[in-house]
Amino acid sequence: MKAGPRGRRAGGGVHELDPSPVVALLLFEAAECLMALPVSEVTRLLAVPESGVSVDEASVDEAWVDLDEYFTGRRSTGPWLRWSRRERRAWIRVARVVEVLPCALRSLAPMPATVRATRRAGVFWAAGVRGDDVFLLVDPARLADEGGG
Amino acid sequence: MAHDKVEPVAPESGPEEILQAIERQRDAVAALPAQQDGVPYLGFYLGPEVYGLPLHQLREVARVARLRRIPGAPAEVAGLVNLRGEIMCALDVRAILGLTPWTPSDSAILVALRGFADPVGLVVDAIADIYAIDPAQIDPPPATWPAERAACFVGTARVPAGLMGLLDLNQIVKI
Repeated sequence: MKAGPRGRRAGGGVHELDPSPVVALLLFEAAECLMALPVSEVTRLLAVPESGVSVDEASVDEAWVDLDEYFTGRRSTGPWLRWSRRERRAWIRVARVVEVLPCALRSLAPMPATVRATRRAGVFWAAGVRGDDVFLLVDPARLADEGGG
Repeated sequence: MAHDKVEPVAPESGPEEILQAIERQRDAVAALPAQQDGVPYLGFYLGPEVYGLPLHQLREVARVARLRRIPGAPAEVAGLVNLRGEIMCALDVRAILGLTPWTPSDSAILVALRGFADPVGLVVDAIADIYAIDPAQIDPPPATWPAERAACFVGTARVPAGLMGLLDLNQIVKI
């Protein structure tokens, strides 16, 4: 699950590594696990109730998925993230937002096939490393299809 | 597979003890050709029982500080570990064999395997020793074992730690 060298400069005899595209990931905790979403797909953070904004003000047509509840059956009290990818949208509740982490795409590893094939864990499409830890990338599109409205 | 007098490296052992155990393994492997003909196997414990894998199917043995569970994953998958920057899928061989599943803890002993497309390893309780097994001394799994359990083994061999079950990785690893 580790990508190799990315090529070399044309015309030169010296091998060089191409810079791998870097994506900014929003890391958060949910279901006692470290997870992530691309920052570019997170359009809003709703800290209920501290923000004073009622969830009723948001679209009721979008999927609402509490990740703790989805995986463990226990509701979270953490913030809601609004995810958006083209016409797809969903609200995802997490336990705690951790940080924004720049991450080289080639450092990500696809999830094992046996995990991708399962219904619930199939919402994770890749994994990355943060220090000595591992985080899981969530695909909210699958999550919304599985657990949302 | 009765537990015998061989002292395993206990899960709570420190890194130094683990490293010493691995060093003993290397010494044992180096000494094997002079001792006897046989295929070297790494013996490891799952609870009181000892299991074995041929060394040529192993990449390394490592104590991993953090093993991340994957919510919703099958019980056979213990989680993912960061092994020097490489993300490795750790399988719970206890669950695969129908034993009491591995209890999540702060650290684990991982036996990293070779020969698979994706990095994969087995979570074990403790390392036992290196054993030289003469292929002629490998017996089939006991007829008393359930068929689904017996299918996970290529056979058994008698070692000082007891009756060692020789795992069939093609049956164990299906990722």
